[in-house]
Amino acid sequence: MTQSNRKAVIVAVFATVLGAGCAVSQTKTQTQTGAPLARQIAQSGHCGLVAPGHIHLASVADIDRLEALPGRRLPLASLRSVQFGNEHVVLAALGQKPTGGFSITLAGAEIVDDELVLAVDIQEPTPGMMVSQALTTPCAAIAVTASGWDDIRIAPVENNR
Amino acid sequence: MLEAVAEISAMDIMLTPKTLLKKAMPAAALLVLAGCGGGSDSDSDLQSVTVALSGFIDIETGTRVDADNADALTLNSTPRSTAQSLPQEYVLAGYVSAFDGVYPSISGFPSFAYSADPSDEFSMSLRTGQSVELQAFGTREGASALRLSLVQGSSVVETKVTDSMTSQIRVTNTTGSDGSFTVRVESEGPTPMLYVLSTAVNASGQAKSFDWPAHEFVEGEAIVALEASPDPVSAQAMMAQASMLATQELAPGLWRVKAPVQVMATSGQSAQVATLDWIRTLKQQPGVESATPNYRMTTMMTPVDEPLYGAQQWHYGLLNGPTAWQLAPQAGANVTVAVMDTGLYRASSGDWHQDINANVISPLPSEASSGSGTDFVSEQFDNDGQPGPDDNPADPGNSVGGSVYHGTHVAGTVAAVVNNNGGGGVAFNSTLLPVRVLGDGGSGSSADLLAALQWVAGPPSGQPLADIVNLSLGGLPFIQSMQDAISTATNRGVIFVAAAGNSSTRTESYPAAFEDVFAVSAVDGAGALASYSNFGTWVDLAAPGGDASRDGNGDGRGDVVVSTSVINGTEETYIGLQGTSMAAPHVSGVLALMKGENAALDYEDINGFLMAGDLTVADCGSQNCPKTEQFGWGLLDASKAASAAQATPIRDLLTATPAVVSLSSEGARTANVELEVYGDNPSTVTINSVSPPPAWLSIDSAPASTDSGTSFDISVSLNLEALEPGVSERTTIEVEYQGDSQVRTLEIPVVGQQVTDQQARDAGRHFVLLVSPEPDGNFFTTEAQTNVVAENGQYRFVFEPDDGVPPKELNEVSPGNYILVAGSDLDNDGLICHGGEACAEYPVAGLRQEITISAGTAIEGIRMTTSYSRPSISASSPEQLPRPDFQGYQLLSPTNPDATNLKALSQP
Repeated sequence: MTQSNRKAVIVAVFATVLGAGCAVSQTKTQTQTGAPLARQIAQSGHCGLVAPGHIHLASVADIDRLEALPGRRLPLASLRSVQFGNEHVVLAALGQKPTGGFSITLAGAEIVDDELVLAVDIQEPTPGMMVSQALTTPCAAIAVTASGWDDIRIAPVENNR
Repeated sequence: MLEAVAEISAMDIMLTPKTLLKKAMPAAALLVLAGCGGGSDSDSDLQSVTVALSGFIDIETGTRVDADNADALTLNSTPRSTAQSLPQEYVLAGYVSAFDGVYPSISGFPSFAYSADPSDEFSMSLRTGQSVELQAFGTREGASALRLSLVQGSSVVETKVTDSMTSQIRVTNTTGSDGSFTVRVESEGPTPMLYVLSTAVNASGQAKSFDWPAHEFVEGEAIVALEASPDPVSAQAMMAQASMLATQELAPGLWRVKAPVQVMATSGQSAQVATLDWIRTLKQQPGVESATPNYRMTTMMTPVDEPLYGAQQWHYGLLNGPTAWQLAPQAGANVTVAVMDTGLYRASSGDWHQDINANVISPLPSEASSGSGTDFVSEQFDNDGQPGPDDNPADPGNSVGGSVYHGTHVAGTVAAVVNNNGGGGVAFNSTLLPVRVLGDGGSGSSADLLAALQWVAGPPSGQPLADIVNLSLGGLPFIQSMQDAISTATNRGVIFVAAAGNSSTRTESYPAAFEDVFAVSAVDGAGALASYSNFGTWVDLAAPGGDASRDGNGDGRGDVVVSTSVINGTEETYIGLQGTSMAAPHVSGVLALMKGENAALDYEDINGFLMAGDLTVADCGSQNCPKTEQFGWGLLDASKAASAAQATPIRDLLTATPAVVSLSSEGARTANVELEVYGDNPSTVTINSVSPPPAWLSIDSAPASTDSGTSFDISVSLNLEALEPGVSERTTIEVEYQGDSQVRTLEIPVVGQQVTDQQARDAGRHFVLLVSPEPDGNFFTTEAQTNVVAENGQYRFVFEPDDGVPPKELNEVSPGNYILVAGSDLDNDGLICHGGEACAEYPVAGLRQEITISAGTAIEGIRMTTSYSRPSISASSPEQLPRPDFQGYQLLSPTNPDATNLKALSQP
């Protein structure tokens, strides 16, 4: 089994999802200073987030609260290093998975009509792939620009590797 | 494509505004998703899913609830007439009201009534100077004053009243002595009130150092450190002049030495006393920095003696590890277990994880010595910075430190060292051979595994590189060449153990399902099949793998297997994981114990024992034991396995049940330990002595010296007054006895604690809600609800998927995005989680995750903690806290207007 055979998961082409209902869209792909809208700062196969979904962390105090999360193995040092005046953190979680081989990584970001869309690449083992047999809770920690948007959406994208 | 759609469904589309959570699923996105069609093709998806979301709510330490709060009074309308008993340290939420009444209505929300309960009384012990603090909370009716009184007998020690400026008051035991008191809370105004009552919590929760008995030492030997590090010849000459015979240089300047024969022979004392006298003289010799006895690690030191054993490593007790370690004192010595996995954590110093380092084979087989290195991960899966196979099986973790070091965890269960640190492995003297076959994210290629399997069988003219191979991996289809490699290695004496897989399916998972491989399913702390474990006719046996969604052993924790790991990239520690990956190494370890006692055992021998019920918890007499899909030939029993491996059955080994005694102030304060000679045909033993206990423990009955027999009893009880609250003490009762052949000592660890009883934790009836992520006005819309009461110090809740059949039960939930919250409604106003009431939010209070529930997919093992306290408000959290407009989460109500209790009860 090769990595290129990993199951590709989805293409959420932003235009397809978002363009359908929008007569006029305003799209931004970087901040006013030219910085990227989002960057991945950490990931783990054992975040402790059993349910799929996402958490918006707007302050260091929010990061501190994650200390109480049972089963968390996501190191928080990189999350705490974020300058919360400029950036916030989003944890995108896949929920509990039966084995290793699952991961979620940031593929891109853009702001469409005040909505921050985080495109994520989700890897999961293809049938027949050899994987470790401990339960996992994969997630990605993504630093996002703190301004210019009202809502967040996580959009899985297909990779063609 | 089918699986891809399932993943879309799992992630769905989620929205979160910066300040308020908004709409969950845009219609456009739903249309896109719907267009993908299909579903998963896994077995588990074909099964009927009866759980949409389930989990536990833990309760903070010391939490209690007023027994006649307004919510409780809806079920039993008579206020309590006697004082409610409380422990010395607690936090309690309560309710008082001078009158009956009805809360003001909220638009679109039913009116709720409250009952009169003018005062509450609590009895407790207080140390001199100890205070009781009260914080008052108003209700939707408004705020009134509360009176707090401390009473001893008929005398009021102190009384305080809240007012509009002071909602927090305290009364103190100023009598100058410890004693029993009554604390009274009274309503002083017209409105119902909530309050939180608490004592200062003792901050000393850390366990003291354990007081271990003195170690034995080797007679006539010492370890000597020289002040300088002369060359060996000079050192030996110098030591010879100082009545020492150098036998081994352990490190530069550090020597193991023997006493000259004449020193021991002419002393006229016992050998031990003579040795100690001799060591004292050595310390006076010039050039000697120190001289200490050569302490002997007795064979009785087993994982039972490790700090983690009593507290967390339930999995060893489940498989009768303590008896096995007596029966197999070699503990796997000279047995090599290959762990084919992600590799092992290796520090920058070159050492492996400190609790397995001593047992890792050294030197590692190299390409030069064995035809291949021990890292088989090919380039496309490799993430160790040295793409492709090489000689270094170190687990690189990942670049951001989020790895749990799967292979290190597995290896620790097999062979962590017994060293008074962390935990021990099942075969704690065995040799670990790390073989890296899994790379990035715990995935790898069948070709790499095949190469490793062919390699471990050894060269045609040589020996296998391992006796046992643990494979905590799976997911492969049947591959003939891999079956051939395993069969070849098996014929050469290698024994294979593999994880059955975690997909809750009976579909064969390879390599576990190959011939000549022991396929291991996983059980929880109660010995029940884990919710995730595969099963089927191809499963050979079961072992502890844990299940975090259950507390099968009743210890207040989810059942996970605790073993060696690393966090934050470099911090060596111990963590709990769950999976058949964790079950397999228990079997590998037990087989290593067997091989340590009888090196000739091979796969056929072991399989014969297994089928006869000699390795599992089964008593089939002369009949063949039945094989089941869940457990194969049964749940692993290490003691039976170790006994089966003995060439000559041991008939005089005394065992203790329970192996470890745990006593606590609010758990069992006494215990009876049954001592029995092990085996079907036991011989008589004679008790020589039972060691005296420390002050905090009494031995109420025990066998006397010279008592003979095959079974005895020891009764012990806790002396609470000799224990410091919140501090654990530990000791060992040593029972010395004479068997057929020799004097042996049975050690029975005893743990004593004066602790807050977890079983007694209760924060009141809890309502668990799934609410819409977007508030509707001042409230979040509640979509589903269930209510639970505390059992054994925690709540367990279950939401079921909406079956589409009317009426829709309150605990039925449709696919969508939700926030999960829970809390008590002590003032019975139909709202939970406001001040003075317990509240839990998933995943942690103050941080609400928007979670996605998908059709056909159960989310289990959710865990959160409820508490009367709230997350601290910080200047750095301006957007999420405080919640000035937050009034609580609304409860659902039944549609039947005749219902007497307006709060809905979703469960019978």
